[in-house]
Amino acid sequence: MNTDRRSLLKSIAAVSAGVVFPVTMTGCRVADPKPSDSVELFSWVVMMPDNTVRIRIPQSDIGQGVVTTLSQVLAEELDLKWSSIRPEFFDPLTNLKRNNVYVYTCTESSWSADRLFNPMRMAGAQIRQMLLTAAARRSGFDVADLRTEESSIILPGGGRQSYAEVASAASHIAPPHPSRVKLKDPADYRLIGKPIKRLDLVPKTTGKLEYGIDVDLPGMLYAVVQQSPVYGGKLVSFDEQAIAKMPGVVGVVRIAAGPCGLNGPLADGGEDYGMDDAVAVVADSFWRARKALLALPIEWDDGEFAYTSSESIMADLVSRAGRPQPVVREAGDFAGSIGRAHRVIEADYSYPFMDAMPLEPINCTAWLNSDGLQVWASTQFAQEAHRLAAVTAGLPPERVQFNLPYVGGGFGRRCQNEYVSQAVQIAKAIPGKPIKMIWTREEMMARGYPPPITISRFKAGLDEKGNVIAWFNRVISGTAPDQSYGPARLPHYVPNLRIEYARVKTPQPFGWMRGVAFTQHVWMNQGFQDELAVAAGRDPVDLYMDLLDEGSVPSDLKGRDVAVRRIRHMRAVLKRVCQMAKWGTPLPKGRGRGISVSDFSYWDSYRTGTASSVVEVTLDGKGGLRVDRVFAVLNCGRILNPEVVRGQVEGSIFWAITTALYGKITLKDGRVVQRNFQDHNVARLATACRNIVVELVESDDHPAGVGEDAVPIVMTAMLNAIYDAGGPRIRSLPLSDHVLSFRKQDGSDALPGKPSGNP
Amino acid sequence: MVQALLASGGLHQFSVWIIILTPRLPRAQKDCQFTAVGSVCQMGSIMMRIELKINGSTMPAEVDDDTPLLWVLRDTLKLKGTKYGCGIGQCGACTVIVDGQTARSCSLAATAAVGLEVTTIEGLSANGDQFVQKAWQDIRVPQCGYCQSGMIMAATALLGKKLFPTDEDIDREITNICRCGTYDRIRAAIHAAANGRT
Repeated sequence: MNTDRRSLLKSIAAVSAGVVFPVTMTGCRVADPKPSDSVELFSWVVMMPDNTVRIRIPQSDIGQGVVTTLSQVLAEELDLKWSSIRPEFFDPLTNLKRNNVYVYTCTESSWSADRLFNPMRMAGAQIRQMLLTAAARRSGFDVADLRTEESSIILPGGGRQSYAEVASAASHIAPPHPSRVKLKDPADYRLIGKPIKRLDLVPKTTGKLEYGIDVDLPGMLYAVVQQSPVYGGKLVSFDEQAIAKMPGVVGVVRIAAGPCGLNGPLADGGEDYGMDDAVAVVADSFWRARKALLALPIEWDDGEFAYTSSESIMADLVSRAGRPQPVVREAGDFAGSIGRAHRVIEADYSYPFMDAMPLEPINCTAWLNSDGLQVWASTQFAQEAHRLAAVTAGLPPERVQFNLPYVGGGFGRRCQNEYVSQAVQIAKAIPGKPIKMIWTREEMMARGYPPPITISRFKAGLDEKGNVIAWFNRVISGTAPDQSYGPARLPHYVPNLRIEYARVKTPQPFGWMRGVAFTQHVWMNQGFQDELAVAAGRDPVDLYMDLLDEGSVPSDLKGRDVAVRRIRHMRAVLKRVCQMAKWGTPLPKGRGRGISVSDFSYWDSYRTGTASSVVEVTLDGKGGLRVDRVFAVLNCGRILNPEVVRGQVEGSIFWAITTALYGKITLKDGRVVQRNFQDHNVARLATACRNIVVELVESDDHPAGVGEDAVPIVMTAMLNAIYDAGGPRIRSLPLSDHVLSFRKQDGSDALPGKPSGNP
Repeated sequence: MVQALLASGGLHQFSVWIIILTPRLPRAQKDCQFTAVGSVCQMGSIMMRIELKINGSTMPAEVDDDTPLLWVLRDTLKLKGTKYGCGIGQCGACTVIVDGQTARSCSLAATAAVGLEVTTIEGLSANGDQFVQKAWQDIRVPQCGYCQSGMIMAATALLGKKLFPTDEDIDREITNICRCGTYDRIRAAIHAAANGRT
């Protein structure tokens, strides 16, 4: 350990004095990799001499509460005393050296519970066995005569040995093979499923929790960056002399375009989405760096997208929607059956670019010195950030230490790690100095990773009784991985069906955003189904229930059991939400209800939650909309912590409201038009619904995701409710582009859509 | 100081908020310790030595005269509980209390806070047991937690002005952004704090 590192540690210790809950930066790993009397067991836990226990959390905590829920999972089987738990974030280098011992480290797809429930229970049970074996050897009793509770081993006769006492001996015992470990009967759970308060609750109310942006190192410099304002643009030149004499300015760094890290396991073939050229100004404070960057003359070559706009992209998508596209699902004879239909309904839905906009601005701190590279960044994918940092620095991975702090919101934006590459490039240019790079909000909005702009063309045929006998959907979207599951994995088996899906290249790199493609397609699919119900004069619930028909699943379908289970789960939550919301009871004029149901079934083996929602809205006839009540039911399999899950559903509801009201990023001349929250509003207290009712379904199924399922169904129910209240049929977003006045008698919208002056 | 004006009619959902920033001059110039320590630089900013009253303590700082209070709090005084979110007074992550009123510290020059009592999240309590913080913990408000310093400061200021804020008061006074969507619990926690106050 060299002087640099030691002085760093000293300052960290000083800064962190009084921190209630240790985060990675202040945890034992960075500050003191192997305290002499602490004992690491099986990579997952570190027993401290005071009988507290460090649990390694292999995910980022982006607000979804994994620090607490995953601790519950491991501590359940290990019989830890809850108050003794001190979680810390995993170390990507350790994980790399130990062959992915932490199993699943990318925080995306709402997968933490799904992917880590079994491994972390098993790790807890294996470590418990190791401790029991050590205690048996020490005490002379049989393992079978010992039991564990509250971080202690109880001997026959009532004597106790603390885990800390036997930890050292246990660390020399090989973990038992999983086949020889018996996991608890869920009936005996005392932590899993309990509404335990989050371990980080108090420091999240005192300002003491450290996020990436709070990293503070001695002699640290600050960097503010600007990437090419046009996607794909190239840096031509800048005039650093213009800012050389500005106070505090240290220098200007040219950041090369390049890889921004794997975009997550779902991306096509691990495609590496691009990061463009950028310029960084480094100064002795953020404020001075920002001012100098604003004053820095920069010349860009805008490249191939210099004249591309959302309008031109949408015109292209519409034109392609007029031509046949590749078929991704087909059944029966759509062309023939549509000709025999009693009624044919058609509609085009569209979805704009959007931005996840987590509240903590993108930031990364990097420090390159003779000891190697240290990096701190709020990211959803620390393992990839570590790899990318090493590649960018040109160092072997062992010489790069990545420190994962708490994350001030992710929502998919931080699956990309291009900012890590940027900060490391700056640190390379100014070695020996810690560099904290912070993006302005304006830079974040200019350089988002949107879900794809999409058009969805529907055509359906109804028979005389109002049954759907033919379903056609042609989808064309912008840059994205294959998201054909959106239109194609309908739970319905309409006898004559044809679904087409194609993608075109659009300027921005693709990004996952909370709710992902389901937000687009559940809304489009069920918005159109709501239109069919209206056309047939049927209650939409009646139509959904008809479509959710086990009997319609073809007997020779591959994965038929999955298809049947999907239908059963959907019917159950749909039925329940109708009871909760008193579906079908009359509402006064100007008020309306909408309903929706969906799961997140990307593929047959994807374990998914199922959710249903009813939303009630009021239109005032003058363009005003109020979301009166939201009911949501979620079946997410086994619930790890009902209060955490409830919070995720509540968050999804407000995410859906923001998406519906304001969700839109506009490209003009290759640039994002929206600059900051003044151009892109989000739901706030005044716009947030005051009356939400969330119900969780008790289940013994494997735990599934909880952070996204309610997003598409709440948005769909809300938009359907606007029509039910007498408003226009919403086929494009956001609502702030529409006039929400009442429809005319003939059902047509009162006015063509135009901005109503909403923010 | 920072004033928020409600600028549109119609239902509150679509109200347009305009943030008007009027830099406030120090109350009594003669009491202020302005000392230029550098020459006037090209961009017109002057480096100054100021004293700020933060959480009851007097804290000296050398700042450019246009530096927002936010960055002085965070980077000079190392009070990192106050967060940067947007830099234009929209999101409220940087909310502090200045002489009893909420202020977006990203849009208030530090020099304009000279002579005023500034309270940050760190000044509410030593252990997180101020009544609003306790209500936040009881209702389990935070998810990622990034906005919550600003939310708690805004709620504390509101509860300082009004014993029992109505839902309408909350909607009007607290315009802060939470992207995780903890609004329902924020509202509940404000009512709980009001009702639990002794």
